[in-house]
Amino acid sequence: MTNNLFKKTTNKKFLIVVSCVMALIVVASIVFSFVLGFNYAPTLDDRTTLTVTVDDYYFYSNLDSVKEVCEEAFDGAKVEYTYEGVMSGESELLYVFDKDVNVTELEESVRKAVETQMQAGGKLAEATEISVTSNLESNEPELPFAYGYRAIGAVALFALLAFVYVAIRFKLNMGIATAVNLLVSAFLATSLLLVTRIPVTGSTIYAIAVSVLLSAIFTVFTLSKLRANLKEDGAAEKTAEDLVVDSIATKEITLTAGTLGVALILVGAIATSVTRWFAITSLVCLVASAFVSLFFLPALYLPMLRAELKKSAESSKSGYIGAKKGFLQKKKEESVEEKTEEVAE
Amino acid sequence: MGKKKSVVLMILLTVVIVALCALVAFPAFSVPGTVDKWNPVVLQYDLGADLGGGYYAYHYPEGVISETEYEENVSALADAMQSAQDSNDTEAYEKAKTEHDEYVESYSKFLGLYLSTDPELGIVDDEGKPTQEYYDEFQKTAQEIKARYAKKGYSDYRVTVVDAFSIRVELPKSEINAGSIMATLSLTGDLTLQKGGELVDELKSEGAKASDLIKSVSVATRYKTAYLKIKFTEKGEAMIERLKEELSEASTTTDQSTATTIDIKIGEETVAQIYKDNIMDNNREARVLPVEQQNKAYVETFEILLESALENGGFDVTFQSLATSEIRTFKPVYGEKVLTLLYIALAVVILALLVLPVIFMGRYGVAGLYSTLSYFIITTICFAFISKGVFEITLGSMLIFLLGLILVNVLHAIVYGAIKKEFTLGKTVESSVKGGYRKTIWTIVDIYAVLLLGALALLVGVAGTYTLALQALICIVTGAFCSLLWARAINFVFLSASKNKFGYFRFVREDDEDDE
Repeated sequence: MTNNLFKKTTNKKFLIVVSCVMALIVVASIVFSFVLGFNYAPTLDDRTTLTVTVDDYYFYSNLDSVKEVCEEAFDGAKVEYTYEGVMSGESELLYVFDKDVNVTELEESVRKAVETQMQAGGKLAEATEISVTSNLESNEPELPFAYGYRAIGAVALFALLAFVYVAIRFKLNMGIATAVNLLVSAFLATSLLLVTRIPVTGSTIYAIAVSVLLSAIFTVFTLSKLRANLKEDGAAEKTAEDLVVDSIATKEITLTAGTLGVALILVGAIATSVTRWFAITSLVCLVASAFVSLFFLPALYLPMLRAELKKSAESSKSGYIGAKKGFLQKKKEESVEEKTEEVAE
Repeated sequence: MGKKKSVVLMILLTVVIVALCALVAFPAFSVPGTVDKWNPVVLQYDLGADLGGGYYAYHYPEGVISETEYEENVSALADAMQSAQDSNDTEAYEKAKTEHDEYVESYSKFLGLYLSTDPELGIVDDEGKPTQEYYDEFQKTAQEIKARYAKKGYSDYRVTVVDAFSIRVELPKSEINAGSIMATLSLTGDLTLQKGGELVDELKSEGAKASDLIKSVSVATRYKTAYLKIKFTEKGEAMIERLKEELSEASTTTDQSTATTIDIKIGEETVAQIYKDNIMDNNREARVLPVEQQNKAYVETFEILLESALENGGFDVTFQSLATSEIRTFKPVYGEKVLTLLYIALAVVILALLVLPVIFMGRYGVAGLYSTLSYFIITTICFAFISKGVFEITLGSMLIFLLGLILVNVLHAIVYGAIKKEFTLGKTVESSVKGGYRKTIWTIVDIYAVLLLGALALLVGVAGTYTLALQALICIVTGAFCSLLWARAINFVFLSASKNKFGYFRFVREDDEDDE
């Protein structure tokens, strides 16, 4: 059975090792972020820009020539992306570069190239006026931080709601395991993204949020199985370890994660760079969710189940069967005694 | 259900699903003989800037201009000098030269901007360098403008500071009021109440501010009309009581100089006007800027502006007014193919999710195919129309759509596994189906219930996360409907129409195998 492979990963030692490794990843991500800062994607980071303003008519009719002249003058400087800003009267090409690119030099170089090409016989000979300016755009991404705080609040609220639901529908300790699993999954996904220095974009929060939802699905798969296994006739003969290991929803988790993973790889392979980075971010989050649900959740729940089974064994040994049951049993015994006395009389 | 009825239902279902699929995804084309164009649902989304492009504009404070504008102005003045020189008009030449030189001296270059050297504006010091006071005041103003856009709740927008003293704002293409929003949210002057061009008496005393008169500003809706509700403080109520009578007189007079409104102004810009008829609830509130309910977002912009002005007062840095012609439109910055390629990738994924269940689960997989298509149709239509004007389609939307789609398929496969397990226990097909469904129903209910709670919790998030939560709600409710009801109903119809119930599930009895 595939689940037998998990016997080695549900013991206390493994839980400690996994927890330590995850804690290390979280710490590393914090250290990395403090030392190196977040690896913002160009859309969120500070950047330098070069604006080439052209009159409207020429922009529409000779855009390719303008682009060609400018891009030749860039001399290998990497353009992150380009805005083709159209307005009435005059339009512009807004080239976006990394913040470290010396855009003043580029401006000079493009100016010269444009002036040369605007002379008779040049590629831009028919242009009336082309102006070139450079700017420094400071993004100061406080806003993504504001999103981040609210998103953290949302994840915490989800963990609380999931705890309440699972505690009512399943068991209290399962509710605790669910809440912990969701939080750990969110932390691990975020930390992995920071440690691997995958560019942070405005969409990164989406990937993390969806990974938490995914983690909830995986958790319910496993807990549903566990609940069914606990109700089975032979459950009393099984050890807590066997019950937990048999309940890991390996097939369901692998099927869901595998299908979503393949879909993301497909999307990343076919689509363009912006989508590709998002697909990679989502894949990392998916791996974090699957890992936490397959390895951390069972190891976390096993001691809880052991404690529960031990407690119920102790209470049955002491003969305590609960207040209500005890009261009913006492009544039953009294009525039996009365009947016996009547018969004796 | 009888076989004939089932077959009729199957055909009807197929026709409806095919028609809806065409509505959702049939490629765009021009309708022959007309000017109309057919556009499928998937091309009618409000897209984020990454996928659909948008608008951007620069806000320059008073006394700050762009290098392009400066060069154009200098060039025009130089041309005037040249033409005066060419015509040997010495006087005109001297005048043009003075103008040119004065203009050149009146600005100091700073990065890609030109800053006015006018000492009254206090932008630069004697050496032509920007002063720390102006820099600090600009940063404060820029932060407030950023906060205003954050409150607008876009999934996708950008506010950046360019060259330390100007702001670039970028909005997605779906924002059809981009010009009005950019112009409104950049107003940073003091909030005042004026009548006939003069401050109301209550604001004339030193230290008096609009928040002494206005308690709160909010958007309300009534009879399909959205409007801005301005609540007054006690002092404000007294002011309204006094001015109302004057407005009443003014409305009956023919004297044009007499005011008929109390004007709410930010700096020199009139944001809203209170007519006598707008005053309600015994002078406690005024209802202004009424628009049709569908244009509520328009009034919300003014709510954000007035709230910000009430809370923070005015700023010393004010921006030049933004002309509509200065707003640039732009296509997706990573190329126009982004959306097409994304659709191709999603089409491949959907196709795989339609074909694979049929291969692995036989005709039961066909029921799954119908369920998958139903999920696709419902979510794409909801994304396009229920949410129109509320949120944009982003990469997060794609991810949550995929998650829902895959979950519907995985749960379908899990139910199949449960039915198969029941069958291997020796039960009849009907009994196995019932048993399989019974054993999996609570797991599916629990999954969707927890996901629903997750989507509700994500509503706490702002902007993109909030949008994602709304889209997640659509995907989860649709997924739950497909997994818990629709797929079962379709399976019931298909199974009833099937002659070979074993073949339907690709089941083989052990004794059948032995016979073979």
